[in-house]
Amino acid sequence: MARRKLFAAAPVGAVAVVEPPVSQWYARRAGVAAVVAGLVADALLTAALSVFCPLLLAVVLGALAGVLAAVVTAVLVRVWPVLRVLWWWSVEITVAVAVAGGWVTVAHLSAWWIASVVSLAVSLAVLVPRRSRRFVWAWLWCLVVRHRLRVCFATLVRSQARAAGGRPVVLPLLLWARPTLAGERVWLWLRAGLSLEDLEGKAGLIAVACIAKQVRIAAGSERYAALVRVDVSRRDPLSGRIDSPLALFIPSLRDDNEADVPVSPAVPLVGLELADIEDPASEPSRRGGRG
Amino acid sequence: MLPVAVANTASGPVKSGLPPVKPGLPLSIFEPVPVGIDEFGMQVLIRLIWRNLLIGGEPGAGKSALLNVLVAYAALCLNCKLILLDGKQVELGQWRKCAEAFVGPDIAQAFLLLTRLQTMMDNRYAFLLDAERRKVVEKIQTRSPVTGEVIWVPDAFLPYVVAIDEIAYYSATVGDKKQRDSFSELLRDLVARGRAVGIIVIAATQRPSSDIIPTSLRDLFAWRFAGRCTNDSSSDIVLGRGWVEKGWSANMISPNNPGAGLLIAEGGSPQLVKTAYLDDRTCAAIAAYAAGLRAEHRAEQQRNMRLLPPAV
Repeated sequence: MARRKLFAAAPVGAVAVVEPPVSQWYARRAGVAAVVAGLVADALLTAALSVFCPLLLAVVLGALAGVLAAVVTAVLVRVWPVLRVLWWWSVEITVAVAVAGGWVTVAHLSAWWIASVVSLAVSLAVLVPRRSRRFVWAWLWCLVVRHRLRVCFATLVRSQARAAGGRPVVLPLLLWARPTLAGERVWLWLRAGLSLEDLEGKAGLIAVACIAKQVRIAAGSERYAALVRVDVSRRDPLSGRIDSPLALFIPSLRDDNEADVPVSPAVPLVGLELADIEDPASEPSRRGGRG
Repeated sequence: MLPVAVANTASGPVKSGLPPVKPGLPLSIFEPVPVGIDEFGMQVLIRLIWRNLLIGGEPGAGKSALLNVLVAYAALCLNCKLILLDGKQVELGQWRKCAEAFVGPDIAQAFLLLTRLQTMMDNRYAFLLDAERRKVVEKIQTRSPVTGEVIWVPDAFLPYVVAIDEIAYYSATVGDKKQRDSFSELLRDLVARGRAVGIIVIAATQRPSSDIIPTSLRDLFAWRFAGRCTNDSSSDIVLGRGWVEKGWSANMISPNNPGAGLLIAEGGSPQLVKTAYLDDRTCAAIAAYAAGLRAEHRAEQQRNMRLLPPAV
């Protein structure tokens, strides 16, 4: 029972990292996983060691290894929700540690105000130029969208979790996210219990969750039904003019504004007005047209 | 000497929202062709070889702009030839020096040209049958007559891109009924049978209803592009029946956004795209450059022919 109190004995005012039903489910799962891992490790190691040492010693060593494997497995499974939360925020944590670590290192090597000036200078160098600012902003939105999608999916499939008898929500695995001209493109790997059809009717809800105008969900692969592409659209890239990349091949267009085309046509400026056109002769027959 | 192999993307007067085409000049008609961007700003590529494309939409929807983008790409490919039919003359007229044939508002000439194409198609099929093959490819494997090594060489004949602007002009407007029907029948044969021998038909019209082009011809076009249409019915005529019911109607596109349209291509279902636009100056410059490229290529081929040892 001590295992089950790992998260249950929370002080008053503590924030629950993992919801209580989920925590209980993981506690049960940790117990089962520990027993299975311990027995398997015990059996395998005992069988292997019996070749090299007396049987009794092999049994004892196998039992010790089984206990060790069971403890490690139980702890891993039990704290998995916490590890998962750390993984979700790993980019933010890494950036925060890098920034704080950089400031502290520079401050130790020189002075705190020099470290602050350097930090300010780096921040300005990154955020003032328009191109780099937009780059940083676009990738920041990718991080935000990943979190928003996770929250949204947790909400969407919570009802399914209740129907499944307390089993925790199996969220889609959020793969790579990248900025597009319209917003962001995120790749998901759906887990058992969800399909593309379940999500197609939820595009509006997902768009609201992602603070976007529109979201389109499409299959990401012809081979795997689980791979899904989510396109988040917050701008309309179709409103402007799109130039063809073919123009980049042409030296006269690439190098200067002078096009190597004639500007004055060789055709004489005669017959270009209606007044210059005489009445046609009478039609020889009603058949046939201009051709 | 051929021009630069890779486009220079350094800052210059030409600003493009799309990455440069790979792998550089000369281009290949067997590679995917960039046509614009989708609603998420991603580049849209379509593969023209072994395909036919029907472009529809109201006047000013950007049909000719898409046609020009595709013809511009084909013009810069040395492994395809161009056939142009344009009732208005000016939409495709800039590319006439790159083309093997250019027909303006003359249905008799158009008929003759399609007849010659049909004969050529039959000859190509006879060749493929004799060679125990089924379709034209970019390169075929053969054994070098000099060294005896296995080498890859271009196929015996090149694909043709047949671009027709305002198909209704030839199929429903000019000439007598017999000429128009003959034109439609010939075109249907080219669309139906021409894919395997590399005849790529790209046809544009405002509303491809049955009174403009026969339904049997319209339904042969596997790939469709619908610019803005005046109503849902017209959109379904271009894209194929049933897409409006599934929520895809080109009537929803803003009339102030020419070039935007629904494209049915690689994915099989419509996607909202904005086609690239080539202004007159850019078209003329690309056309002039492509014409020079092709002339140089022809001259090089003739030089190579002269260098070949005479047959014994």
